[in-house]
Amino acid sequence: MTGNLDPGTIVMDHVSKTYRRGPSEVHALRDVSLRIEPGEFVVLLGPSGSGKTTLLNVLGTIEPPSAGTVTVSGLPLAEQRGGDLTDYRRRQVGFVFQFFNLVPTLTASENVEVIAELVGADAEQRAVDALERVGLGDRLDHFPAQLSGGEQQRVAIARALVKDAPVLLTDEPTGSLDLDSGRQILGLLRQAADAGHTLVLVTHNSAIARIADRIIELGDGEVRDDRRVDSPLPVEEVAW
Amino acid sequence: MVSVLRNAIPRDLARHRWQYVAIAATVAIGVALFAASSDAFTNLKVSYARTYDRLAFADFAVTGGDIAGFVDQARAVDGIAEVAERRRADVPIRIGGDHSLLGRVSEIPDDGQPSVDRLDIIEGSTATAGSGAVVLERHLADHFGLGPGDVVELNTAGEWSQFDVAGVAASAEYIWPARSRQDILTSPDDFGVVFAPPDVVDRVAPDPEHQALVTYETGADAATLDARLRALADQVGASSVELRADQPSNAALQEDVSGFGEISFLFPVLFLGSAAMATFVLQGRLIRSQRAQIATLRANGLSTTSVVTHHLAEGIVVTTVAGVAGLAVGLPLGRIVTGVYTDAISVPDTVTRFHWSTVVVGLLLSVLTGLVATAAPAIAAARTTPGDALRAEVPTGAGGRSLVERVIPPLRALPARWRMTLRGIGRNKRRTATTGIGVVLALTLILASWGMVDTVDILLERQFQQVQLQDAQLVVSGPYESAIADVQQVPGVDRVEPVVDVPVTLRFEDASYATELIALEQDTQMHSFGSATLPSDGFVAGRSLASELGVTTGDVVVAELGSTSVSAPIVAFVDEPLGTLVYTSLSAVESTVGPSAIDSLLVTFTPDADPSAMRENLSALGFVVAYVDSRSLYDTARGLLSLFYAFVGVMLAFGGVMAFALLFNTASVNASERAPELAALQLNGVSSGQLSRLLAGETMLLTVLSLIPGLLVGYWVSAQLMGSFSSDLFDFGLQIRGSTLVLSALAIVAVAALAQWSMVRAVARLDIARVVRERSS
Repeated sequence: MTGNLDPGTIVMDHVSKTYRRGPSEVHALRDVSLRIEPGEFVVLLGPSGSGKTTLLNVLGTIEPPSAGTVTVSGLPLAEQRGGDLTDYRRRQVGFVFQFFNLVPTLTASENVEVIAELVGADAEQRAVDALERVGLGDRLDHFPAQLSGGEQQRVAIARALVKDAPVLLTDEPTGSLDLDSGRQILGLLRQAADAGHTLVLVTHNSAIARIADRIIELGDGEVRDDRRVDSPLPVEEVAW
Repeated sequence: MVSVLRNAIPRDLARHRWQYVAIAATVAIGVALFAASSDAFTNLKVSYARTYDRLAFADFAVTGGDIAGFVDQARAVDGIAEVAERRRADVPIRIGGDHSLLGRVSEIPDDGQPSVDRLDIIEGSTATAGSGAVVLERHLADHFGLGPGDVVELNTAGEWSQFDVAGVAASAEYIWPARSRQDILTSPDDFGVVFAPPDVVDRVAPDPEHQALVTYETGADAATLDARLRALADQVGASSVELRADQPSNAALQEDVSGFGEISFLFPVLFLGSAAMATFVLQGRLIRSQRAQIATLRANGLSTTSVVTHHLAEGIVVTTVAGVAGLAVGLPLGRIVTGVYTDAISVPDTVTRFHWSTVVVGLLLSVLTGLVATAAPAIAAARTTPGDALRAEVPTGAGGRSLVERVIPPLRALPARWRMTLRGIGRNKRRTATTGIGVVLALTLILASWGMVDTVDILLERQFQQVQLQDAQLVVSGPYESAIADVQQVPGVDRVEPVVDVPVTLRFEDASYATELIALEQDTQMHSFGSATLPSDGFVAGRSLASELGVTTGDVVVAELGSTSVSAPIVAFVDEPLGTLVYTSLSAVESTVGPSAIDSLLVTFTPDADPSAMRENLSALGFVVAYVDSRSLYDTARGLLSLFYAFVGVMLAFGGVMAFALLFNTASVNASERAPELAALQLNGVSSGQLSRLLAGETMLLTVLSLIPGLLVGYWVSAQLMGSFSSDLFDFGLQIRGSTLVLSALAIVAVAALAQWSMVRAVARLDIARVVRERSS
């Protein structure tokens, strides 16, 4: 059931997230409401502890909200349990982390193929296609230990893209990369957004935020600013 | 150690409590087994020693020759405490007027109490000269429910004479009521001993053996005295000598005691080794997960000594606490085992003592287990450089196709997730080795214990169903030819053959060996010699004779039969489970031993014959003075195995616990080490069920692969263990049934499957948010 919202549409309605830390409560998100349209490239910007990763985690069903509702591609996340939750992660969202978290005993193509096998036939060819899209056509049989950090992150992106999920969630994807590798990764993410994927990128780096279509600034769990970027900065001009 | 670090120990232990509980359980079982078996070993030795001391158990016995001359000379030897003479004869006994069995009359002095091999009167009184009474050895009395005031009959030349039972006694000679070294397994239904004063012996045993029994003074050099007395025995023409170590009852009991000794070493080694590996894996993982914190503390001035001490303490605390628990269980268990054992075989004295040495060694083993297991990870922790604090943990495992994929290329076409499983097997060499060794240790424990039962069971089956083929042995009085004809007429009798069974001393060059000579018809159907056949001139001998005498086939040995002797070659050796007997054909010895030596018949029954009815009918024949039921002997021997089965059941359970503890820890560490990549896979759509199956597949595959070395090593260790019990009394060549190997392997696989619970739980509870947060921090 996808409801009447287009694939890739994200709607958060009065979402709060509270953690208990001993006797005290930490309000990671406070009454956040927002709507992200299909194909939008959105950056969640904020300092450490602002709630941006928590918001991403809520979208990825890593953590449930304490209050409010979240709908992705028309699916109310609160109703996703067990098999539905797996199916949501399998078909609706792709994840990319700061650390690549590849399986070290599988080659680049096999790391992608593991996920491709979950969503349809001809997994091997689709894995190759995905890696070619991220420029790793000549690294298919390399194991993670034989790849640079940037290349490993590209494999992670290919892994997220191979499912052709409408939403791509990325958490500090350039956090452990040098500038050149980081630019390559951002370029790929920009391409994914241009290809129609809804892209949510978490960063604390305001320089990176400028490549997005929209910047949502968070602070103390609240949306402090939500603005459109009329002329996103070309990736090759990003510097940090 | 810094006090703050000390505070961290209980927190670390609490965080991984189930893993530490598994380790503690393995250590506790290992130490409990050590304490119980070591104490039982020591207690049994002391119990026997007390009985032997109290009852003046003979250090040396000599039979035949000029016994009076031997006694005179032996008394003059320094270090000799007592020398006693006695007569002994094998005389049929009849109980209740209808149950006849093989019997032995052993002479006691006029006053009823010998100075060597004293009687421990446990009921009634001893029998004195002129009383017309005898004393029953306790196994005979217990089996038939006899006591003072009852009557037994002894047979002489076909005539039965009645004697009152004056009392019941235990004897150091018959704690294990063996008839001889070559007839170690007897049933009280078929063999019993009576102690009789000289006038009774005069009546019932016209041609007894004359023996001298010797005890040594405390502290005397037994080996020197043994040699001295052996020389004296040779001088007086003795037919055989018997050292205490060779005495049938003592030899049989020492086999058991040495078994406890072997177990007190082998089984704890298996458990503590397994616990050490589980600790090694867990501490290794704990330290790797804390490397950044450790390095940061190091950068801030924490000494390497503090780091090492902290991690050593974690391991040692667990194993030491478990060791104390193991001792708390093992020490009383050792007393219980000693009591149950001495009660089961009627050892007159039961000594159970508290042994400080057991406590000290048990604690040392516990501490050493923790120390050895934690040393390498602790040192690795101390070597962590401050620079490591700035780098994230590197996932374990380099790339590369698995060996199995290289050997079987079609496996490369498997779905990528199953290739992940195949490669996961060799991903962490330490974990792979630990899992493999854990399976090997558990299988060794199971096979070592199950192998004992299978060996004894199969060897008994071989002895009583493939080697000895008779259903009954009848001791007859009068001419054997007419007895054969009469027995053949009894309905249910299939075949009857005469047999000679006489004591013999075999000599070859300077070596001698006392055993029994069995003479059968050359084409006998009562005994199988495998591919060998009975020669018309020569001997077929039990395999151990080769090493006892240093002979080989073709060597001519001298067989001394009382006052006569025969020289003949050894023509073949046979592998027989019980005893080391010598066989020849009747025709070869008849002229030497005379027709009167043929006093027994071997009988087989028709398939439909009822053994109980056959015993009744054959015993009713007037000339049958003793009846030995082969099936009842076999059943009695197998009955003893029920204790073994209980032992195997416990060891199977312990082996399961051991394997479970190790596999449980490796499985949970596997899930914990791979949490980041599992989180990534789960977030990209791989369900927790699929992840669990993939990880379980790795461990199960590794377990199955480890079964092969496990079965091989287990078989080898079991063979060594059983081999250490083998002697001329028993041939304990390891026998393991195919079903035992299969069931042992299946048990390990089942335990491995069960141990995946920890991993399944860890994957299901994977806190993705925490994993992501920790990786990002």
